[in-house]
Amino acid sequence: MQGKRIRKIVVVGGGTSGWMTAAMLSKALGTIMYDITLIESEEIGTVGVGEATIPPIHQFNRLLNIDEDEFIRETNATFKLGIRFDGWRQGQDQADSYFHPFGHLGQDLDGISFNHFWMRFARLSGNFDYGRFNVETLAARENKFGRTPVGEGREKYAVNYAFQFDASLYAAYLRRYSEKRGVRRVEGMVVKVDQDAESGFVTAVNLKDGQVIEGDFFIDCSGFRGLLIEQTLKSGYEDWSRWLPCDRAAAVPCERPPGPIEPYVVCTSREAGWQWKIPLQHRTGNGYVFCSDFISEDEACEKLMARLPAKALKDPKVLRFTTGHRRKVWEKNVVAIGLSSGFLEPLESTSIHLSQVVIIQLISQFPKNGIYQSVVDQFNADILADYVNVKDFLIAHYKVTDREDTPFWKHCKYMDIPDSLKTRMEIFRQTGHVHVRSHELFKEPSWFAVLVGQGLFPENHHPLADTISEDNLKLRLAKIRTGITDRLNTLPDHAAFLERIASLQAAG
Amino acid sequence: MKVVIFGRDAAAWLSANALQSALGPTGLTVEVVELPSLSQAQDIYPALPALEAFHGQMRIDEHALLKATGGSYSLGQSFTGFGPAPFFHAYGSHGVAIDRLPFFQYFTRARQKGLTVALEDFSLTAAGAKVGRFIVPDSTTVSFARTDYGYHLPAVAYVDYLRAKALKSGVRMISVRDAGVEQDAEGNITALLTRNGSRITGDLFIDASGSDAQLMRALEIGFESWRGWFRGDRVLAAAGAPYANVPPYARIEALDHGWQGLYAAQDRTRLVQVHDSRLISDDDALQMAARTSGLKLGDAVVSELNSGRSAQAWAKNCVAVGEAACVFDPIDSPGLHTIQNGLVHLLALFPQADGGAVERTEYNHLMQQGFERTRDFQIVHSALCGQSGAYWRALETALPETLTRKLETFRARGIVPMSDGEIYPLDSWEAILTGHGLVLETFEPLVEATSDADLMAHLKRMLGYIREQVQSMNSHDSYLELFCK
Repeated sequence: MQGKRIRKIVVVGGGTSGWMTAAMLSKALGTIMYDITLIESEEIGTVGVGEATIPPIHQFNRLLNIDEDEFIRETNATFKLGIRFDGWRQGQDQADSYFHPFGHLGQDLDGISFNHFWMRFARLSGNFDYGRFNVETLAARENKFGRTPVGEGREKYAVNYAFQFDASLYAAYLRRYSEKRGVRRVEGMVVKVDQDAESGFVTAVNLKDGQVIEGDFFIDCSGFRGLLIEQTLKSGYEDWSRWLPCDRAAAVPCERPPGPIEPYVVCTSREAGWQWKIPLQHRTGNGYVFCSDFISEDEACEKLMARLPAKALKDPKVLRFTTGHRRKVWEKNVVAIGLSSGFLEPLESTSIHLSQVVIIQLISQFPKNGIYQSVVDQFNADILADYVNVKDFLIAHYKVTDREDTPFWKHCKYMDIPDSLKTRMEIFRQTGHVHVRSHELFKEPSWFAVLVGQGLFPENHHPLADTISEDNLKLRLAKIRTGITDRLNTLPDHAAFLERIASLQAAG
Repeated sequence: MKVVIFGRDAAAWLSANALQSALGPTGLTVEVVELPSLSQAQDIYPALPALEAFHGQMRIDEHALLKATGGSYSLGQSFTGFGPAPFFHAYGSHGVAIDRLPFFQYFTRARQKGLTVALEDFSLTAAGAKVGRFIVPDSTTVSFARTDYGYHLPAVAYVDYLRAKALKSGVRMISVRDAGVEQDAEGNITALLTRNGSRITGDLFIDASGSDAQLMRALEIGFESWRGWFRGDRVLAAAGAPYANVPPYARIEALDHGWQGLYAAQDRTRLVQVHDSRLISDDDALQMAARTSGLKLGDAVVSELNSGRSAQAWAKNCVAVGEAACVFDPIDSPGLHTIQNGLVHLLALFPQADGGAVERTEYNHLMQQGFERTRDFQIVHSALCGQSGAYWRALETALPETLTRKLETFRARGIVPMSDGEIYPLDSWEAILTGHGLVLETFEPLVEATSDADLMAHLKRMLGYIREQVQSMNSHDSYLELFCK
C-alpha cells in the first residue's frame, strides 16, 4: 500500500462520528479528487441523548464553515459555559457545589497566574469562592449568556462557551452537509470484511444485501465493537477501568423543566457514580453513569427515574462500556474514530472532542500519496497523549474527595492512581502550581477549578503574590471584579438569547 | 473635670467618642446618660465628606465601619425635578483651572459660546458615580481634581458601633428613660437626676437629646423657627431591598408635595421623604413614596419636623450638639455634619474649669454662622425649584439677605461670595446654582485671554481624561466587596 495513491475513502458507520468525519473529509479533501462513501444501517441505533461539548468545537465548525446560529437552530442547541459539579466533595445530599468554567480566573498579574493572588486573598479573607473572579461562573449562576463582541479580548473578560445539543440532530445536519458536497451514503449492514492476503490491509466491505464496497482507506465509526479496527485488525484495547471503574450509563430524556434554561451541564455525584443533566432547547438529557460492581442496572435505572427534574419522555436505556482506548487508533489503512477508538465517560464532555481531534489530525496528515509507518506511529502517540491527559483529569474528580459514605466512593478515594497524576497533584498541593504542558487539552484554569473545587487547597502560593501590600492586593482584585461584573451586566438572559436566534430564522 | 452627655443616638455617641479620644488622655471623664434610642431600621445617616477626617481623628477605620454597619460610600447627590434638567451635586471639583483662573469662569464663557456639555460632566466624581464607580483619591486623581466621598450609614448599626467604641475607650454610661435637671442659683446645671434616685454630677453638660433639646429647654433657651423657608413638617422614613448594584450616591427627587431621597447601602435601600402635612396626608405620602421610588417599602415611620435653631448653642454650662442646637430639613444631608461641626468647635474652644464665658460667646457666633450658611444652601432648592407643585410655591418669608447677595453676585459675575462657616464648598454652590438653572450674565474678563480654540482644546482634554479615568476605576460594588464585607 505504501506509495499507493489514495482515492476511495470509506466511512463505516454513521452516527455523530461518522458524519463529522464525512463532513470534514468532504470539506477538506473534496469529492472531486476523492470518492467518499459512508455506509450506515438504520438497523443499528445510534447513541445520542444530548451531548455536551467543549470550546474546541468552534474550530471544527469553523473549518466546516458552519454558521453558528444555523447550527444552534438545527441541533436544538443551548450554550454551555462550563459544568457544575454538585456533591463531589462531600456527597449528593450535601450543599457542596463548584463550577468548572471554560474561561480562566481573573487576570494574570505581574506575570504570574491570578490563581496565586486569589489563594493569598482566600487565605486572608476566608472566602473560598473563586467563582466570583470568573465571568462564566457568574453568568451561569444567573442563567445569562451573550457573545462577546469581536475585538473585546481577554482584558474585557470575553465569555468562553461551547454547546449542549442533540447529537443525532447534529449528525443529521452534517449528513445533509456531506451529501450536498458529494458524499455517497450507502444503506446497509456490513457482514464481511475483505483484507489483502499479504499486507492485511482492508480492501472492501461486503454488505448484507450483497453489495461490495471497495476502498483504499477506511474510517471505522462502527462504535464500541470496532468492526474494522478490532474485529478485523485486532488492534488491541487498553483497559483503564482500574482507575475509572464506571462501566454503565443509563440514559433518558425528560421534558424541559419549568424555569430558566441553564447555560451549563450539571454533574451530580451519586452513590455509585454520577448523574448528568444536559439542558437542550426542547428537552433535557439525563443519565446515570455507574459502576455495575456497586449497583445493579435495574437499581441504577430506578434511581435515575426517581431523580429526574421533569417527566421522562422514554424508558431509560442502558449502555455498557469499558473505559480505555484502542492501542492503535490508526492501524494499516484503518483509522478508528468515535467509540471504536476508545471510551472515556462524558464527565468532562470530551467524547465529541476526542473524535474531532482525530478527524482534524487525520485531515492534516492525510496520506494522499500512501501510508508511511512513521506518520502512523506519531499519529497514534499523539492521540494516546490526548487520551491520557483526559484520563488523568477525570480520575482527579474521583480521587480528590472527602466522600467515603458509599463503598463506591470509598473505593475511589483510596484507589491507586497513575504516577503522572500523582506527581501533578503533589506539585499542586505543595506549590499551588498546575504543571501543564502545552499540548494538553485541560489547562491550568481547568485543573485549578476542579482540584480546588474537589477540596485540594494548596499549602503555598507563588511568593510573588506576597510582594504587594494587602490593600494593593484588594484593589487589584476589586479591579478584576469590576471588569467581570461590567461584562456580566451586558449579558442577556440565556433563554432570551436563544429565542432571538430562533426568531432570526423566522424573520428570514 | 467631667463632661456629662445627655441624649441618644449619633449626637450622644459621636460626642462621647470625640471628647474621650481628644481629651480622655488629659484626664477628662466622659459619662453618657443615655435616653432610649429613636433610631430604627429604616433610618440612615447620610454623611458629607468631612466625616472621613473626623472619624480618622477618633481612629475609626472606614472599612471596618462600613463592614459593621452595612453602609456604603456616597460620591454626591443627584437631583431630579429641581432644575431644567436633572443634575448632580458631586463631592468633588469641576474641571481644572486654566492659567490659574477658575475653571467655572471658562465654563461660563464656553456655555455662552454654545457649549452644551453639563457642568457635572467635568467632574470626575460625578462621571464615576453615575456609572457606579468608586474613586479613592490617589496621586493621579489629586493632580486633576478634588474627589471626596461621604457615606450612607444605617443608623442603628452606626449608633451601636459608636457606643461600643466609646465604652471600650473608657466612656461611662448609664441608661435612663428620662432625667431631671438640677441647677444652681446662676442657672448652671449641677446634676442630672434619675428616677431611681441617682444624681449624676458634671462640670459641663452636652445636650444630645435631639430636637426635644431637653436641657436647653430646662435652661429656657428660645427657638427660632425656619418654617417660612422650609415648608416640610413631616419626615417619612422607610426601607426596601438593597439594589443589585449599590449606587454610590443619593437620589433626590422633587415631588408635588415635598421631596424624596433614596440612600442606598449594602444592607437595604432607605427612603427619606419630607412633605407638608397641609398638602398631603401621611398615608397618601407613603403611597406616593412607594410609587415614585419603585421600591417595595417595609414599615414606614413618620415623624414631625420643625426646622429652626436654638437661640444659643451653648448656654450656661450646657452645649447643645446636633438637633438640640439646630434642626435642619434633611435635604443636602447636613445632619451628621452639624454634630461634627459642634464638636470640632467645642474641642477647639473647650472651657477651662472656671466657666468659659469667652469661649461660649465665640462658640455661639461660629455655630450660628455655620447653621445659617447651611440653611442658605438648602433654601436654594425651595427658592429656585422649577417644580409647579404646591410645595414649591413662593416662599412665605423673604430670602435671607446673605443668600440674596450670593445669588445676585453669582448671576452677575459667576462668583459665589463665600463667608466663614460654610459647610458646602464653592464647587457645591456652583453645582446647585447651575443645576437649578441660574443663567449667568457675564464672566471675569480675564478669561478672554485664552482663544476659543485653546479653550475648546482644554475642555476636550479634560473630558477625555475623565472618560479614561472612569474606565480604570473600580466599581463601587467590587470595592465594597473587597474592603467592606
